[in-house]
Amino acid sequence: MVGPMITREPEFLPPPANAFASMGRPVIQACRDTGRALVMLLGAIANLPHVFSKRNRGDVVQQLWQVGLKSLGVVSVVALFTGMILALQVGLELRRYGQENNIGMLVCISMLREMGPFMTGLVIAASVGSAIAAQMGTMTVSEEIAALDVMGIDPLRYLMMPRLAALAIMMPLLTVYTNLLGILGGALVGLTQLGISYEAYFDNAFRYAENKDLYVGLFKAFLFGLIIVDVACYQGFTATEGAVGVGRATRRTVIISFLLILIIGYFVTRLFYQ
Amino acid sequence: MKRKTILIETLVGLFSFAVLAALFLLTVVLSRDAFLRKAHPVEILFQDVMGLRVGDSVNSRGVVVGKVQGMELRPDGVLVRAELTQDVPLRADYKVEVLASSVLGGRYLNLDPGTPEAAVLDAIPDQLSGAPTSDLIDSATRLVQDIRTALNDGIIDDFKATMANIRSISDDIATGDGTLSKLIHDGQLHDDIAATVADLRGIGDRLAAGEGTLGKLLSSDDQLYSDLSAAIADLRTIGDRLAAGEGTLGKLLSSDDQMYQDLAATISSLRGVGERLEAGEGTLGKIITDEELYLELRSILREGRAAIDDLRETSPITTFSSVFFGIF
Repeated sequence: MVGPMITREPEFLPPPANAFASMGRPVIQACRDTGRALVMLLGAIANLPHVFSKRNRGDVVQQLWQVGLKSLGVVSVVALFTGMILALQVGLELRRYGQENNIGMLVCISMLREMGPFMTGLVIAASVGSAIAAQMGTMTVSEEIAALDVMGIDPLRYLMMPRLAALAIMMPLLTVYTNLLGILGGALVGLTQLGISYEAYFDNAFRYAENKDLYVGLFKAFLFGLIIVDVACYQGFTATEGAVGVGRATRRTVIISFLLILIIGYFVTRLFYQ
Repeated sequence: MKRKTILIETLVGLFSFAVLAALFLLTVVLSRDAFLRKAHPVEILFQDVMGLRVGDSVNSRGVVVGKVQGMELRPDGVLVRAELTQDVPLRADYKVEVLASSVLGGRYLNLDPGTPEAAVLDAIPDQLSGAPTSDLIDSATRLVQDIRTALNDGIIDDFKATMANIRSISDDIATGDGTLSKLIHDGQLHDDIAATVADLRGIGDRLAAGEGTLGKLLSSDDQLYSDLSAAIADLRTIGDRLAAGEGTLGKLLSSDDQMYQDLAATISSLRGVGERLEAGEGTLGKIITDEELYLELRSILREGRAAIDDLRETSPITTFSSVFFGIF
């Protein structure tokens, strides 16, 4: 039974004894939350073998639908305009040096390496992550999680694992989609604003980009998916104090996911591009 | 199973399939068809690769024909492993070198197939020998060092001496020594030069106006030129005639000395006549030398003049008498 470990009753701690204690308490709390979230993530991963079981398959497909196809509209707009902005900003600067023909390379490599997974992660964290946190938080404060626990149903397998599987699968797929739309948006700007033909743009774009750029980006997206699910589920499961606590969990999910996406993204880049 | 569930599963499957297909195509494009072509691995041994990196391209005649796959540091240099995706017919004098792709950085392997005169190799050797590399920055640094060495070897001293000379000249000019200084400080020289220039300008104006002989020579009126040409032509004709021995002067100048001999004989005769006159021989000599004969001759001439005067006075009467008696 993992129920008592996941949910958390409100803690009413005495005021810090001194200034150092007031600084140390949030640090200790953060470390404890991180550890609990990681344990929760490991628990959900441990349940992944059940992803294709008859009991969980429907939930997984439902989450794939919610995470993937229902986010396509937002992701499409964000991806298209990210590529267009990149092409326009870089192209206008490069045109001063007569190098605007190289925007294909810059847009393609930027999208594949960083902007594709980053923008997808932000969109999914803001839309799907917050929704998961709100749903889990509502179930927690209404003691549905406790009820599942009492019925002997593991919340990590029943609630977290399908979402984890869905995001782990959909984030790389959505990132591929984002990359393609971003590169296409750059081509549109290149043709209409900078006078660069599609042939020249795509020739330049795919001349310098490599498979490493593509797959490192997809690996980042995969990690971002795990981060979003873990943060959202942890914040939801640990929500307290009714509707206010659900709102707080949702807000913290978005903030923490954004920060972790940025920080983890940097370290992954540093790991592969030294 | 509900229809909605079936629809959701189908749409999710379609989306996943489409994105996976796009991912496959993107992978193929980014691989630049590498896995569809048979790559030929080669090894090149360099003394120095000048910062070449794994993944840098291999070019031949400006075309990308492969990629650097790896590098290994060895006691005798650096062994670079590359894969050629296109066949490059190498000749015996082929050259492989590391070149800078731009002044901002970046390297690539340049595979020069060789000159047409060299023999074609049957196959690309598994290990090629790399040419010594030359770095642009390194070359520039050496050039600066050479320039610095040359400057230190005497150019700076020469330059200092030249500057000292220039300073000395400028001091002389400042103190009023020399023509140049006077030109700067003395107004008289300027006035003289200005007057000379004015005179030259006047001469020029007169020449331009066609005044004077030189002006006429320079003017568009070619009368003087024509006259000069005619005079030269006449002189030439005279010269030709002289050369041909024509005329008295020509005969005098000619190789025929007949006239000279005649002239010499005449002069000799005249000399004889002169000697005889001087000696008082003959009538003329006596007239010249004999005082009495001179006086008599003078008397005769005086009487002759008086007779002519008498005749002149009586000639009207004689004429009238002749006419009068002639009627009868």
